[in-house]
Amino acid sequence: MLTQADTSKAAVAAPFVDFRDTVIDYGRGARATRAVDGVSLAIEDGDFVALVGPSGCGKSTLLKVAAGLVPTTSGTVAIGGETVVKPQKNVGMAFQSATMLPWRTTLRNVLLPLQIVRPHRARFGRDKAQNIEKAEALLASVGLKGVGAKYPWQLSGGMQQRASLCRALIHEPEILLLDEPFGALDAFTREELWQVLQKLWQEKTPTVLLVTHDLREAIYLANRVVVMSARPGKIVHEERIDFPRPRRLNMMFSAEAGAIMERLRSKIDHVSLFGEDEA
Amino acid sequence: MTMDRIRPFLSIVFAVVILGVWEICVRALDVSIFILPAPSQFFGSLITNWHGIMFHAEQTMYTTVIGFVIGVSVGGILGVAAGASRSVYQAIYPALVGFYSVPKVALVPIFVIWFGSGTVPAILTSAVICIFPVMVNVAAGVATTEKDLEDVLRSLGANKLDTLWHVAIPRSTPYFFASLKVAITLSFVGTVISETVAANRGIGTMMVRASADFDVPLVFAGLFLLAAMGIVMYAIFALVEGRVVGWTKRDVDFAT
Repeated sequence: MLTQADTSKAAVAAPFVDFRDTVIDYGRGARATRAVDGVSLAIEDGDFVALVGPSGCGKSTLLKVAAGLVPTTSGTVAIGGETVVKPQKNVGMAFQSATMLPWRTTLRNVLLPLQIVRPHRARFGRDKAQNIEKAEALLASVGLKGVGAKYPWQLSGGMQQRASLCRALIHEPEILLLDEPFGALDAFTREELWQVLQKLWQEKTPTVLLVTHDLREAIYLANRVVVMSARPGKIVHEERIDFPRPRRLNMMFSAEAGAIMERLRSKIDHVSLFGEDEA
Repeated sequence: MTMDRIRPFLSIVFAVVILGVWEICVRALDVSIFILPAPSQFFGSLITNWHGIMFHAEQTMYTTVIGFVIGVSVGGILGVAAGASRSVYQAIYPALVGFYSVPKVALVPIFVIWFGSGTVPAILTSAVICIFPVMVNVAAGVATTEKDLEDVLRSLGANKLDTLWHVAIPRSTPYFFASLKVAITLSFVGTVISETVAANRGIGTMMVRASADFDVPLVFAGLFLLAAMGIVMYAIFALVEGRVVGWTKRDVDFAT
C-alpha cells in the first residue's frame, strides 16, 4: 500500500515541514485579528497533506507562512530543519488563478522560476536549450504537448492551470504549496487535473501541502487530510487516507471513501456551527 | 464590399471630405485669403515654397524627436520609480504636478537665458512637456501589479528588482505605449512654442515670420505640415505598439 514516495523517504526522522504552535495575526495592536491560533503540524518528506476547513480559517495563511511570504506572530515553521524567515528556493507554488504572465508564451511562463531561483538563474542563458527541453517535457507530461508557443490567454482555464503546475515544478522544488489550485475549474476538468497532479507527485515526489474546499479532492489526492476550525484557525481533526496509488476516480464511490467523507463533513459542520470548542 | 475592407480608408475619406467642404465654403463665401485660405491655396504655397519649408521642417522634426526621446526616458524612469516605491511617489508627485501646471511657454525665456536661442530651448521644451504623461501612465502600470503575481515571484525568492524586471515593467508597457502617443503630439507643441518665441529656424519660426508678412497660406501650410508630422509619428508608434504589446488585445494575429 505504500507508494515509492513513502518507502524512499519514510526513514527520515525529523519531519520535513514542521509547524510548531504557529500563531498568525493580521494587523497590529488592538486591531489585530488572529488568523491562525496555535497550529502544530508535522509533515514527512514526500508526504501529501491536504488542509480543509471553512472559508477564512487561515489555511491559505498557513501556506503563505510556509512559503516565507508572511511572518509568524509566535511559534515557528521549519522546513528541512531550518526555520522559515524568508522565501525559500526549494518551494513551488500554485494558486486558484493560474497567474500566468500574459506577455510571455506558455513555455516562457514555465521557464520563469529558472530565471529567478538560485542557482538556476546564473545559468539560465547557458542552459537555455536544456531548460527548454525540460519545460517541454514537463508540459508534455501534463498533456500540454506542443502548446508551449501559445500565449496563456489562448488556453482554456484547465490548460492554464496545468501550465501553472509545470511552472511550480520546473525548478524541482522539494515542497509544492497549492492554494485551491483547481477551485475555479469545472467539475470534470478538476477531476482530470487531480489525476495529473497525482501523476506528477508520484513521478517527482515533492512534499505537497494542498489547501482546498473540496473534500473529494482532499480524499482523492492526499495521504493525510487535516481539518481546520473557523477563524481563528486550529487543527481539529485528521484523517489518514490509505487507498493504494495510483488512485482511480471510481475509488471515490467506495463505502470506505464515503465513510471518510462523512466523518470529515461532520467535523467541518461541527466547527463552523459551534466553534472549535465543540469539536 | 464589407465594412472591414473599407474601414482602413475611412480616415482618408474623412480628411478629403473636410478639405473639400473647406474649399467649397471658402470659394462660395469668397473668404479673403488673408483670413482663411482654401486648401488649394495653402497646398499651392506648400509646393512653391517646398525647399524653404523643408529647411524648417527638418529642424522641427529633429528637435522634437530628440526632446521626445529625452522626455520619454526621464518620464519612464520616474514612472517606474514612483510606481515601485510609495515613498518616491509621495516625495516627487506634488512637485511634478506643480511643475507640470506651469505653462511651458513661460519656461522658454528661462531656457533661452541659460542656453541661448535656437535648438536647445526647443529640445528642452519638447522634453519637459512629455515627461509628465509618460510618468503618470508608467507609474500606474507598475503600481497596479497583481498581488498574486507578486506572491508567485516572491515565493521563488525574487527580490524587488526581479519583480520589477519580470512583472511590473512588462505589465506597464501597454500604459507606456498609450502615453507615447500622447507624448509625441505634445512634443510637437513644445518645440513649436519654443520656436515661435526664440529661434531662427523651425516651422514655428517660419509661421511667425509668415504671419508678419501676411503670407497666410504659408502659415496654414506650416500648420498642415505639423499635423502631417504628428500623424506620421503617431502612426509609427501605433504600429510598434501592435508589435510589442499585442498581448493586451488578446490578438490572434499577434500570437501567430
